[in-house]
Amino acid sequence: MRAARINAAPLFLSILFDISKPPMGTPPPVSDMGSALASFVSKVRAENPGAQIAFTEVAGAAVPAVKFGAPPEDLDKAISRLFVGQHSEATMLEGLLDTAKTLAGQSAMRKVILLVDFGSHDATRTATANEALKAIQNAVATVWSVSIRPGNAPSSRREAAVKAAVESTGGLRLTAVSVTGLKSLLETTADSLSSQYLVTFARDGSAPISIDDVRVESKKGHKVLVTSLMR
Amino acid sequence: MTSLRLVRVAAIPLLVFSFALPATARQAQVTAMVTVVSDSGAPAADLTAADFVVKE
Repeated sequence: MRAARINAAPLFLSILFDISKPPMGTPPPVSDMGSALASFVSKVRAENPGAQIAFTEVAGAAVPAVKFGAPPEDLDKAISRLFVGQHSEATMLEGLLDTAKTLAGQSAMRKVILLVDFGSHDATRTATANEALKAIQNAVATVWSVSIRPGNAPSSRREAAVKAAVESTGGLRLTAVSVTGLKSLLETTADSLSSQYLVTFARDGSAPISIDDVRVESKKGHKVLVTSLMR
Repeated sequence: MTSLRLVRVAAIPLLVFSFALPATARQAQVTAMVTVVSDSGAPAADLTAADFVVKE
C-alpha cells in the first residue's frame, strides 16, 4: 500500500455562502461571518499553494462574486464587503447545480464545493435538487457543508439533498447552533481539506469499485473520508 | 474428430498456465483520494501508508 499527501496538487474550491436576511429580531452576524471566512481562506491558502477559490453569494439567487482564476485580492475584497441581503431565503441547491456544472469542466483532481448556510429557507424545486446531485457525480467533486442552525430554524428541503450530496461524495457536514461556532467549523474544514491523501492499495478482481465498497481507517484515530475519486 | 482433439490439446496448456499465475496477477491496483478529518487545529500532514488500514 502507498499513501501520499496531495496538498500541493491544485485545489479548486468553490464556496457558496448564504447571505439571506436573518429572521426578524436577529441581528445580521456580518462581522462573525467575515472574520470566519477570512480565517478559513487564509488557512486554505497557507497549506494548499495551488488553491483556486471561487466565491458565490446566495440569497434569492446564487450570484458568483469571484470566479476561478481571479486574483486573490478579489476574494479578499469580496469577503471584506460581505453583506446580508434582503431575501429571507437562500437558493443554495440552485447554486450547487451551477457550481457543479462549472467544476465539471475542470480537470483537477481536487474539486470541492463548500456550502455555508444559516438555516435559511430554500425554495429550490426537487427536480433541480436531483439535477444538482447528478451534476456533482458528473463533476467528481466533493461536497462539504457547514450549517449554522438555531434550534428554532424551520426545516428546509435543502437538508436531505445536502446530506445526500455530502455522503455520496465523501465530504463532511458540520453543524453548530450559533454563528459563534462558524470560525471553528471552517477551521476544521480548512485543516481537513489540507489533509488529503492518495491511498493506493491492491484488491482482488477487477470489478468496478465505488465509494460504498471501501472503508479507510487511521491507526492514529483520525476519521478518514473516502471520496468519490477512485480509480 | 480431429478438430475436437485439437481443442482438447490446446485447452490443457491454457489450464496449466492459469493455475500457474501468481496470486498478485489477479489483483488490481486501486487509488482512492481520502480526506483525513482534522479538528486538532492543524492539518494531519505526516501520515504514511503504515497509518492507514483499507477494508472492503
